[in-house]
Amino acid sequence: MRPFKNWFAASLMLVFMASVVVLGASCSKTEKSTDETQATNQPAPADQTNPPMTNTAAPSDAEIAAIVVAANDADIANGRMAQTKSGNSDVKSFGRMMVTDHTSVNDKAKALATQLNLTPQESDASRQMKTTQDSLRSTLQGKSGTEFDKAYVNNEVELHQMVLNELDQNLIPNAQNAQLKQLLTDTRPAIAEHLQHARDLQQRLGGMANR
Amino acid sequence: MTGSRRGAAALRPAVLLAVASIAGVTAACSTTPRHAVHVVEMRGLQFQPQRVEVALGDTVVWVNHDIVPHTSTALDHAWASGLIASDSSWRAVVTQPGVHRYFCTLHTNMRAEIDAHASRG
Repeated sequence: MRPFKNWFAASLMLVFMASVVVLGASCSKTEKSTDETQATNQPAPADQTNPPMTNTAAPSDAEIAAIVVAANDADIANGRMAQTKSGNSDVKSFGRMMVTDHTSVNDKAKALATQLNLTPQESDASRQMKTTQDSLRSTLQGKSGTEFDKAYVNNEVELHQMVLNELDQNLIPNAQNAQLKQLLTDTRPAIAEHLQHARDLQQRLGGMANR
Repeated sequence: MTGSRRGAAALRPAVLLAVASIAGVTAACSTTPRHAVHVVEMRGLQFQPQRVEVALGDTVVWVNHDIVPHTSTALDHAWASGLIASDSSWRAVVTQPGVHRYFCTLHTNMRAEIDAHASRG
């Protein structure tokens, strides 16, 4: 079992890569990657902190449910902010899709939890998800124009890559209930689509500059 | 092309005229033409099948098996479903000949087409 070990490692890598990007600011153009796994090497926002993950045990179904809800809630809130603050029609459209899709996934997850009499249980992972994304939105609140658009979209790339990795390496393999495992499996194509869409948007916005 | 969500009627005057015309023609015939129903599944953020050949008057039903909503929206504005929620469907009767390319406005990589002929075969 390796819950969040990769996530933690990826977080450390992201902080390291962010430093590299700051030092190498003259090379702001980033090649677009079509390999989902390569996106973990993209730098984290310089103003976003990733506190260490302390989970070492496999998440229970109740903890998985809480992580799913936390991730969806975060992306819904991010999407609403993008719809309000962005002046870019593509970014607004992406934000609208995030709200629509993640609301649908959340509704399904909550309905399944009710059906299974499963009370979502907070864990370090779900709490860290909330803390990190709440902090990011506070930072985004102070940005505007292109600076906001790039910071929002960059976070969406990282968030969806992280969620995709977690689905594949941790959540789906560790889910015990067959219906929960199926819900996670059904969610994967949407997350992969969101990631690709966010990458395309990131590319159109000019890559990783102006964190 | 006219659409309806789970059987709800949303017919426009032009379509009503078309339906009336078809009804008039069929009334004069000894056998009633059977209009086929074609199912397009929305699954894994894809339309399946990607291409459907239909005859005018046939019905196409889009069934969303995904966990997220989709739309079926023609590039030529022949139809627009609006949001089709997860585990829901939307249907439309094909009234215009030609190749109609359509996509999901939410997930724009989802694309497919319907080839509508004047008659079957």
